[in-house]
Amino acid sequence: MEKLRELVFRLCGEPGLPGEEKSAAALLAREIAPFADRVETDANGNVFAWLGQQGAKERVLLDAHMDQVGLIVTRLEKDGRIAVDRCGGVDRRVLPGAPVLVHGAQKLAGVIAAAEHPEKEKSDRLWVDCGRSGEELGQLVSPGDRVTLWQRPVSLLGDRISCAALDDRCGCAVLIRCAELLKEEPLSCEVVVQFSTLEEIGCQGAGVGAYRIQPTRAVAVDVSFASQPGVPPEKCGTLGGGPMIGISPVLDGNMSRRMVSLARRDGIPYSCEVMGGETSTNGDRIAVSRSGVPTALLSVPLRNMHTAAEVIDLRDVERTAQLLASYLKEVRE
Amino acid sequence: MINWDFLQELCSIPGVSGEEKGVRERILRELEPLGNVSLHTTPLGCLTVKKQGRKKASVSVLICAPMDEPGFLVSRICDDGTVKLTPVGDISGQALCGRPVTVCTAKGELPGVLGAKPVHLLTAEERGKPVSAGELYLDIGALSKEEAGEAVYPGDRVVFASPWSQSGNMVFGRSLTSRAACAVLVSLLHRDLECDLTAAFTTQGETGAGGLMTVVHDVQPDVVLCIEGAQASSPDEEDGGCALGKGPSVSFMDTRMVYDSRLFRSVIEMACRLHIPCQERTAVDGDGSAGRAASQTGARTLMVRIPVRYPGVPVSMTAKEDLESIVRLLEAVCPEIAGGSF
Repeated sequence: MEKLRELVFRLCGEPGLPGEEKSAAALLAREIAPFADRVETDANGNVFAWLGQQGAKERVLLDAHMDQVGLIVTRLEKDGRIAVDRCGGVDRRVLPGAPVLVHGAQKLAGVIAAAEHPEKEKSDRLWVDCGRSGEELGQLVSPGDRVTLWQRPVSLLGDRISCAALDDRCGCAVLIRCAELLKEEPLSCEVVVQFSTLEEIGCQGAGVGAYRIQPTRAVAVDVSFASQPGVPPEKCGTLGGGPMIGISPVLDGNMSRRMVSLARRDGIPYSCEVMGGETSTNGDRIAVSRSGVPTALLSVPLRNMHTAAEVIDLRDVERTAQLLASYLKEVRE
Repeated sequence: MINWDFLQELCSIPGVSGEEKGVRERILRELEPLGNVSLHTTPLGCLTVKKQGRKKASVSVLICAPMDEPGFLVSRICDDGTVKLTPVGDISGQALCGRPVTVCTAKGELPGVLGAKPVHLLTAEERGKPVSAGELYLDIGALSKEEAGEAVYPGDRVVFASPWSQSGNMVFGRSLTSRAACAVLVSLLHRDLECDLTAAFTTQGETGAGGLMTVVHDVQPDVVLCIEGAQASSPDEEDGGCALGKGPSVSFMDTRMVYDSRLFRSVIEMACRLHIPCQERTAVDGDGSAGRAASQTGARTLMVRIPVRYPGVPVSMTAKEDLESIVRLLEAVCPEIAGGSF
């Protein structure tokens, strides 16, 4: 579990916001390289890694998104404030007073202004205070620069950990760990691991990737809600409860059922995440690529989504990787 | 003049009201090497320092700075392993969810987070609304009441986990309203002073100033100068009480306390004369509990405040030059007060 913890912390430590994932992409490419035959990137910033039996009739696409939610600089005010907007669905409640890093010409520390007096708050407008003058800022920051929430990766009790960007770097960790598990296994299918961009603002990266790869089937790995105060139990899995297996009209029923059987066969704790419509993950986009791709979804249970205080149980990452590896070992023509 | 590494350390030591020992011990280590000081810890955990100057004082002066910070106390462990908290002191309602925190347990510091209901599941009404204190909870990764109960106990303190940085002319850190005041006072005590002076690093400032009140009872000063952080205006505010970079903010009154007008006038005039940045506080908004506690025994009292942006949230901000201005101002006014001219 230690190696997995270190991997997840490494992945979460690298910034990568929608449209600016380069840094995270480079790290992911390095991390998967030891377990893959070849690694490539595309014009969209997606990272692909091939393993398994190259040229096999069955080609399985495994997807996890590498972008994390954050903020983007929209304007520099003359008085030194940096106007920002959300880049991906950051939880707006956690923003006032949050410490941040502005990724400009240099990384600048700042605070998101907390409007103490509600009547002064200007609707959805947010700004970052780096304590610099307008002139200084002009040299250091530009509109379009990204802003990340400050966080520190920590180990909580047991195998629980907390940091920002677990959505979906822990999904990326699942794929890397799965590739590691399969390194010495003879597979009857070709497997393409895809670390995709832009999921948080519309799943464009996964759509582009699936179009290029033309898989015969796909599994998306993301995060979903773990039980916590205020969340109805029927809407979530639990920390330590293993992967949440997605069941939805847009996902392939056979694949979902096979995942459940394999989890039972291998004694992997799991829960079913039943959704009546789209899943709000890359799975939706991949499933309708070209002529259609049978797609499954596995999710790691996670608390406090889209905040700097996300929490998961590392055992769920390991179990999701194992379930996925079990599935891939039996895919054949 | 100010030791920024020392301030960084102070900002990293948890010291929620009632448990200020860590902060006090760090300050003690900084003062012990000084000659001509006598140090005393009071029953409520305050540190009083009597420093000899070159001359005796005809008017006794006490300068104090608070050591404690706002935070949370563990109040109850729930069946699902989450932990209910009670806020202590002045914490912005907007700071209550989705935050990394540190829990101070008997066995050492433990990381945790303040939970936040996933944004995707919020109703339209809940979005953008601050979480109430009743919805606040701590998650230490425990999956059962038993597991949580082995790690934390009611009364354990919780503080935000916050970064420290120095950027340009600013410092960013947790608990600057108290710790910057402590750093200023420590810096003053390192200087060669003209007159005798008593300093106090006080406790429980966020919960009624009990520490300061009891120190004043012991010391019985003629004049008290209270140093603490005060809310500074943000860049877009024309008039928010005081501004960063314009020096200490001196108040003529707070909502429930009027300060000594002769002291107020004299300090500002002296600052002007010596070209030390200083600003009159233009808002009447502080609670003034420190001032009231200080004047209990009939001392003439003045608040000298450090402009701090964003108190009450995980990270606040202050200007380095303001801290240095305050040290210079205090060094200049103390002999005047002690000599009876103010």
